[in-house]
Amino acid sequence: MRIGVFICHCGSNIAGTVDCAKVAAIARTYPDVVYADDPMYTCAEPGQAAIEAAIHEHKLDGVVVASCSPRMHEPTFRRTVERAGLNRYMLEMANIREHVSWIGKDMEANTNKAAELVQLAVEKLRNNKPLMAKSFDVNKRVLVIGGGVAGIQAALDCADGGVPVVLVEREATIGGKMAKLDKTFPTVDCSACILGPKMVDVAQHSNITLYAYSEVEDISGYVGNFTVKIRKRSTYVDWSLCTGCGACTEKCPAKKTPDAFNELTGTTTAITIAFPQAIPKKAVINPQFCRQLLKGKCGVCAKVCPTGAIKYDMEDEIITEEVGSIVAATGYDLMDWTVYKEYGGGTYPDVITSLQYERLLSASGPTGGHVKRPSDGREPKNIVFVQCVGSRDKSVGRPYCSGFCCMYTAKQAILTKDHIPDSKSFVFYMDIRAPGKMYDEFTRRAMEEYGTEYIRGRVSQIYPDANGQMTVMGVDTLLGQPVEIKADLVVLAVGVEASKGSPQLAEKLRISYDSYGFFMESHVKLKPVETNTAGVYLAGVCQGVKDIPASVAQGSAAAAKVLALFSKDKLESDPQIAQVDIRRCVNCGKCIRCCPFGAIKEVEIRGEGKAQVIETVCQGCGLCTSTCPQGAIQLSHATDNQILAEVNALCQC
Amino acid sequence: MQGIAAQMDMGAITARVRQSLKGLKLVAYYGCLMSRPAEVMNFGDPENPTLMEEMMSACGAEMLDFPLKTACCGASFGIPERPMTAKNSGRILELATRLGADAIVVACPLCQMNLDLRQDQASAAMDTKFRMPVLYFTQMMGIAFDLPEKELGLNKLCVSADGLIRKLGELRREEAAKPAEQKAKAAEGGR
Repeated sequence: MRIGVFICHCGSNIAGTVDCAKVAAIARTYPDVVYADDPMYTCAEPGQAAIEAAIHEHKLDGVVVASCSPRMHEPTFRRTVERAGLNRYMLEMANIREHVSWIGKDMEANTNKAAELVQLAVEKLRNNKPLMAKSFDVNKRVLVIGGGVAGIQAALDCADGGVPVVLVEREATIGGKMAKLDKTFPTVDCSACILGPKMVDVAQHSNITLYAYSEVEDISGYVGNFTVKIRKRSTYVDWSLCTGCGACTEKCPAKKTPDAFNELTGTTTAITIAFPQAIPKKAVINPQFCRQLLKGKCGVCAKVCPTGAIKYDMEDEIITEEVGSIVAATGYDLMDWTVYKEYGGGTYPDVITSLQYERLLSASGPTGGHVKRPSDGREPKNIVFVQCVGSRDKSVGRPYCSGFCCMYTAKQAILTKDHIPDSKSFVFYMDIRAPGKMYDEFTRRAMEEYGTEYIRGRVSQIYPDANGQMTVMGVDTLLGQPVEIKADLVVLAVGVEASKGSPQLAEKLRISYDSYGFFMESHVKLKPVETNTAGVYLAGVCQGVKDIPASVAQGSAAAAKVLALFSKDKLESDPQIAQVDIRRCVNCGKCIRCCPFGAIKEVEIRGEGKAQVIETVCQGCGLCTSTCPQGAIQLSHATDNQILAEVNALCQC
Repeated sequence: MQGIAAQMDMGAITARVRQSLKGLKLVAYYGCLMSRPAEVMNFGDPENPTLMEEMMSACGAEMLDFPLKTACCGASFGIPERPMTAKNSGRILELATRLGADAIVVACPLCQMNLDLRQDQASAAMDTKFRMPVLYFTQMMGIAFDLPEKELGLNKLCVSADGLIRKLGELRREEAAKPAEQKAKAAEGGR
């Protein structure tokens, strides 16, 4: 073998504490090394050209670059050796920057350590074999999970790009949390008016298949070839017949059904259409309140339905879809604020969440857009907004900022003044976080033009007296004194947490999630849309708190990723994966059980059970290779022989 | 209080009741220190302790939900910062009055003093005139157990509990009369 070694100076980053010329000289004494040099910047264009020239001139068949972390430039140098005609896996890197020059000042010790690391790389390289990537077909269809504004945007952009989309929504209508909002900051335009047309586009787009009232049951396969099982929950209404006329909802006698769409601020009927602009505009029966389903006596909706769409014996249905990529856009839920016993823990009717207040402001809400407090229907005059309830509060396990509460509280204060001109709003805040475009101007408007009184401090207690008047006790930390405000209505800006069921879905998708249930992106700054599972992308609040503009942007970004993936007809698989030596395999099944990706299956070869690696699913983590009692599984490019060669070299140093 | 609760479960308390407190509306007031610091005091939910309610309910009393049960009464600031104590205690007395409580039940001597001895100061601060008896939970239990009034030290209270005792007496007499009336009515109906 003919090996070339390049010891990078990295300007003074490495050369400052490592004698690079000396390391190169030592490297020339290692077996099979026929050439060694110490360029100033190996990654720069002249440095890469020098590697290519050396490969041709000295007929090299392997290259060692001693420089920075392989996480930084391994792909760069792989492309370099490939341009010169070598297999890209005939490259090894020794990290003499992060592991040597940046962590020690002793020139002699550093030089020795760098030389040793170069020797390890040389010994590994002597055992390297060329590896070839395999290619496989891509199924150019995408699954979008969640029909909130982020999912809608991702679905529409993919569909416009010519990709067939399967959109799965848990609720009976798409629209997500945005559909529940009355107005949106900072322009105070009507939420339903700007979201509605997008929802209609989803319904009308020939490339989109919508499964509402459905959930993802199971996901198998890998990038380019996922198989998804979707549970279509029973609506007890045949949607192919339902015209959304609403006759059933007018006649249904079970009128005390809690209205989930209105955040339980009102009641509805057991058979409902969530709201006038619902997509799909189809009726759904709530089996917990339907008299026919509970007691077997009623049947009113079936009688009045002009198309005979009511089916009381309907059951859940499982549908299988094949897709090549998945966008998760599952959004958020409010945290359970009833842990705040000092705010009544949910027992005071006039202490409500901001999302409930949004429904009270909305013209399609339970009060028809007239603000009336829940306890007695009276119009409130003094309204206190409390921010950071379940945000930035370690004591309830929610240390993070929910991001958009400062803005919507300012919006709600402005809307309150518009609805009730003689009202007075107070906002208890910790800091006002308004860093978006036109955002700070907006909160200033709430204060200066609408006379909202902002009090910097936390609320220690809320309590009602016998007449239902609330007393809000808090502190004004700018004046340094306690304050007490009599309020008719208290609105809590409740913090955000990942949507219910997020961890379970993450496990189905084989992606990571943090301790709050938010899905983990591949890189917090440079890969905010990708996940660590190829072909699975993120959009919206499921990845971390963000407002509507950011959710829409990430929805489009996820669509761009899907379209880029689908721009190729075939995908290359990474050859650095596990391989089974079937002569050694005794079919104990330990590898199958330990594989976190489900990438190993049992097959029958000549009448014997053997383990087999599904090449496109294997991520090359190496767990199976260290678990196998027979040494029958080897990880390509990190085989036992390669690792032992490194260990031997180190022991002989 | 925790000691008594450890010795007697609620059934044992109920078993010793000779004169039920049924019909009395009471609020339990714990003050700052009974439940805090939470990890040291081990007193259930520090924002919403309920032991005193359980004991009083075992004696038959109707316990009103009292959101200020762990608010500060002003503590020792009655000496260096009297208006503050008056205001804090006044807030507690005002809410108890508005809720229609017959008495406040306490466990802490400092709370008792601020709410009882200083009730006139609190009245002045809130520009009203409170008449709210403030009894220790042990005194209330003593009344329910029908112990001699002298031993209960009710005469040591600044705000008299006489009204409370009278109301309780009337309630019990009414109750005693009721079955007789019903019997009489039943007898009339029989004729």
